[in-house]
Amino acid sequence: MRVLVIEDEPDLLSVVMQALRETGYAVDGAADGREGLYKARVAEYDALVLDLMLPGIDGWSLLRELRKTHATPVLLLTARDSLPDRVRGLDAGADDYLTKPFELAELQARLRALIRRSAGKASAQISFGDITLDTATRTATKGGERISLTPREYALVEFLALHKGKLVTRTMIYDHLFDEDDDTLSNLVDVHVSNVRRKLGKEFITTRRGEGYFIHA
Amino acid sequence: MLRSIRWTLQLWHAAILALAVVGIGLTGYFTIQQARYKEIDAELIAAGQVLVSKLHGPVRPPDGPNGPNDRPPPGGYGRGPMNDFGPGDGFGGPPPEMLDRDPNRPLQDRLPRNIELPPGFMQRYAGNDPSERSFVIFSADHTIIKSWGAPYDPIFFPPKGQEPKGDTVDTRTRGTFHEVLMAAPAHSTVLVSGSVQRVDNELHQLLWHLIAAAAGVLTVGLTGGWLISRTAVRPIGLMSAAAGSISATRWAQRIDARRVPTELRQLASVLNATFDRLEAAFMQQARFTADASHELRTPLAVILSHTELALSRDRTPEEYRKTIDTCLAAASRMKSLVESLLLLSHADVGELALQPCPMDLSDVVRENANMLTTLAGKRAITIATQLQNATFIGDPARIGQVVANLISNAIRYNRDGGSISVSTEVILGDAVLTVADTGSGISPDDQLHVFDRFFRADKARSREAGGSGLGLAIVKSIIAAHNGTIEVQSELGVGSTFIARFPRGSMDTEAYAKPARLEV
Repeated sequence: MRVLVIEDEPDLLSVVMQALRETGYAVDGAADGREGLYKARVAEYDALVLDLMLPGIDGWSLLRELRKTHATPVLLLTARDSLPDRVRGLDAGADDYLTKPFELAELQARLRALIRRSAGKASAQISFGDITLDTATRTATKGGERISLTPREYALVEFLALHKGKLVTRTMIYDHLFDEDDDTLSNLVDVHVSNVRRKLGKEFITTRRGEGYFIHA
Repeated sequence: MLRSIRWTLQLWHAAILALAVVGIGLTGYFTIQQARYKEIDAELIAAGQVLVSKLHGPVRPPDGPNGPNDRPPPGGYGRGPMNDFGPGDGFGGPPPEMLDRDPNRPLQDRLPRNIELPPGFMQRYAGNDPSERSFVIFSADHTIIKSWGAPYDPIFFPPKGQEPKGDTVDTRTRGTFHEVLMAAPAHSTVLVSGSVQRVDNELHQLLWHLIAAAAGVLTVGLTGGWLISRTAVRPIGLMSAAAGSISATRWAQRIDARRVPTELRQLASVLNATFDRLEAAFMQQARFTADASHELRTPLAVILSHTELALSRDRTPEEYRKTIDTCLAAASRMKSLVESLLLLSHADVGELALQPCPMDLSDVVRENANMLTTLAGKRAITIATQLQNATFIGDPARIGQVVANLISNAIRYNRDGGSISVSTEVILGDAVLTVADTGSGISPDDQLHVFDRFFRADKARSREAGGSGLGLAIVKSIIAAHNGTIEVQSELGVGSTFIARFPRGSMDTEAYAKPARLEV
């Protein structure tokens, strides 16, 4: 899952990015509205974390601009918790909001819920065959037995699971699982896919040569 | 109740109305009473005149050469001067007795012995009730010669010798009786007495009618007055209802000045203007609170999230150190913000604790400029000073804050390699501080707001470079507490100049005991 964090307070931006990275997200950051809008438009994000009070373009305007072309789920971060501010944010196209100061655990839970809902899943559990993914604890079980996955491997499995039955191209995987600092020319995806196959079974991920991967519903 | 406009109006209204009604009633009553009494008196006088004329009678000639049988022919020779009875008066009949004109006989003996009243006299003059009138003829020695009508006893004679003479008519009142005394021939006197009891009874009845009418008029008047005063007072009620419904959450309500009478319109517009000012002040306060909490929340969020992240798993000592450093910086930011807010709130209520003493502006500038040279040097900004002695009474620490804030701003908003010039001098009795920079300048619109709290001219500037947005607000508060002024002159792309003036005139510390309040 790839997330863009737009926040002008450097200390806050860094901590949110690090926290999300540590839970397995691919995370990009932007320190003002203009940069944020640009990044949100050019890259495929699974979710946006957006501060409302931004230099350049403020959060509301950014949202309105973004909503013309993108339906990316947006979580507002705001120090203003007055009702009009929240209503304005939600009406501009935000999906959820969180008031500063916030707890990282809540930020992550809300983000998970946003991503899940945008994929059309209401439950935190995704099951197919004898494999079950718990998006809250980011763990996978096979036949009731816990499978140990690295965060990146889990992210790959979850991404495929959220798109199960559909073809997932290598570009999509790069776009959603790797942030702008990762080397997209490496064969990281191949490595992760083979690791996942080793842990969850060879038939779990089907390769369509030259196009991408998919898992059966 | 006595403070109620309505009751005051009503009481005055009642008093005036009562006065008018009683006045009119009494005037009417006494006019009627006098008229009725006059009527009765006229009747009494007329009766008296009849009697007097009766006594004069046709003149009997003295027993002359023709002897006592020499009588005038029937019809008489003439009549007394007061006798206006003619046949038409119903006083025909036998000729009246004649006055004996014999001068040798005692006077009373000369009066006719057998005086008969003309027929119809009693019907005409005795009134409706025979007991109402008495007719008495008495002689000079107060012997009753003749009396008719109601018994008149005891007779009330005038003092002897004071009986009416000639044509005079004496009138007097005795109890419920009006009496008329008239001189009659041979020093006798005619007294006609009439009771006014019946008239008084009528008047009494009239009085009750008048009282009832007055009560009716008063009731109608007061009820009408009460209703009118209610109508008059209603707009006040509406105004107070409108004013009462204004609250912190419902500011939009105003008194509708068009629906208020002209007399109250001025009050309504004054109230509305006051509400406008209050609303503006309240909104400004609310905005200020929201801004302040916003500014505090960000560093708080930094501290919370950094500690939460650091504690979520084991970290290297390096990482812990970094977290603690970040938290320290955030906490310092909160501290300075809280200090700024505290200073402003003290200034707002006029409790900015100043410790004034005679001080030289140039010393303060020298000190602060030196401290800030390093900071300026990092961006190759030069600070030039032109300092003349400018003494006034002030708090050196607070003035130092002003100078430091202004120079820091001049550095922060300057271009790299720019310059700052700071000067102090005395102009027209003021100690004047001027700080000019070569920065980006402030647009005319923004110049109006640079001293507002949390106002940042350059909104695109990230929080890292910008301050809290309180610096100039604090500068203005401190200067205001010194009874000074500050203004800004700026041109976009050229630079800004801040000019602060401190009055030197009030060199007494008294002026600082109660610092000037900030306008909200």
